Amino acid sequence: MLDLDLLLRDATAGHEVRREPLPAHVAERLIADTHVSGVLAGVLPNDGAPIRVDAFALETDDGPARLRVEVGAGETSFLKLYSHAVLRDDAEVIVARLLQAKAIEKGTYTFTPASSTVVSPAGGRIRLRPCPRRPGRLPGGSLVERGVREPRACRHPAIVLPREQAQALVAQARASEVEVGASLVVETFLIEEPVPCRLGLRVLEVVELAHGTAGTETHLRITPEALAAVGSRETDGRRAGGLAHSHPFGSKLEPGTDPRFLSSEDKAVATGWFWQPYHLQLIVDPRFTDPEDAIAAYAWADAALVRVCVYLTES
Amino acid sequence: MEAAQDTGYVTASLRHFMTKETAEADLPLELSVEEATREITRAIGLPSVDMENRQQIYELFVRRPNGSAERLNPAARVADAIAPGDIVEPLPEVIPGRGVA
Repeated sequence: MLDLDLLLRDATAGHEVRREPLPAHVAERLIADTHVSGVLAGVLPNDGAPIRVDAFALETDDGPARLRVEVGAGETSFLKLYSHAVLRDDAEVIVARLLQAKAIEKGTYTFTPASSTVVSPAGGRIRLRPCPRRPGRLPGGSLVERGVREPRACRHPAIVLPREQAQALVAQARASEVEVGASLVVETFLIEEPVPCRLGLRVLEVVELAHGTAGTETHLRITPEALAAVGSRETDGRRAGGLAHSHPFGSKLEPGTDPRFLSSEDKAVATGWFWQPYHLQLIVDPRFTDPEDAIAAYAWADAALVRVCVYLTES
Repeated sequence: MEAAQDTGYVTASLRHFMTKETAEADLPLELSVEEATREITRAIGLPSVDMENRQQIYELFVRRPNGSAERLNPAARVADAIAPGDIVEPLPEVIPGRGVA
């Protein structure tokens, strides 16, 4: 696998400011997105068999850097090209860390991927066998049968959030003055209706994070035990699908500022841990009672984190 | 799954928190659980630092073939805590928050 760095340049002067290694999971995110794109396009088989990475390359010869990712399965292969912009949130997280460490000055930076110049250190004392990538099969499913009256022509995954689950999230947030959170257990499916993005996610359960998880007005510390408790509820049809957490500081922001944003810390969680194509981040503003007003959703579209619409369903 | 106790290793399955995939691995018996956790997370490419550049906190969980599951004491030794056929999974402490908009 190609090891990648992120080059930061001063946006005004253009000189290189910093070179930081990109975490390994960045490449895995692009591979997972390429695979699911190939399945959704009907090019790659949807059979749960292991996949190959036929190419993972950095192209810089004709303009801005881009990443070429090719995933294969059986006799077929699917190619996807990503502009450097797909690394925007990874870059924001790296810059936030560097600022925190006072390794760079506050300023405006541009970023671009680059081949790593450092050889990864050899593995430690653990002998790890090769592990084939096996993303699993997407079962077919209907949005309409899941309570969606009129499927929309969105280019991001369709997210079905039953009102009962949404109201549970809002009630949890409104019952506390500090940040609270929940894990989302989801089903994933290949949408039968003709929509631009045929990846469907439905929230099956919201599991309040406990086991020592504690919030303040501005942060939520989620313990490993809390994540383990959710993992024990997973089956083939029920996956840990991301997190919801509240932002209870809306009244302390400038008037008109929406608190339902993803902070750098939130992006670190999303890019570091919840980067699969079916992972969500929900932010809840406890000042509101209606889920339509209280909840903002973020999902992965073409391996980039974007704010998305949801289907609030009555069933 | 084969035990490798006589060679100084125990063979267990490592479960990856994000992909749910598992890979077999030989874990040195003499390591503490804390040391093994650090080596496992590095070997499978999990994030190594948190937002404040501190070492990322992980805890190691095990699922036994008999269906039981538990969090492992970081001070325990691999030889005492992990048996052949166990599935081990490092899980992180994660901290979403307000940060900078």
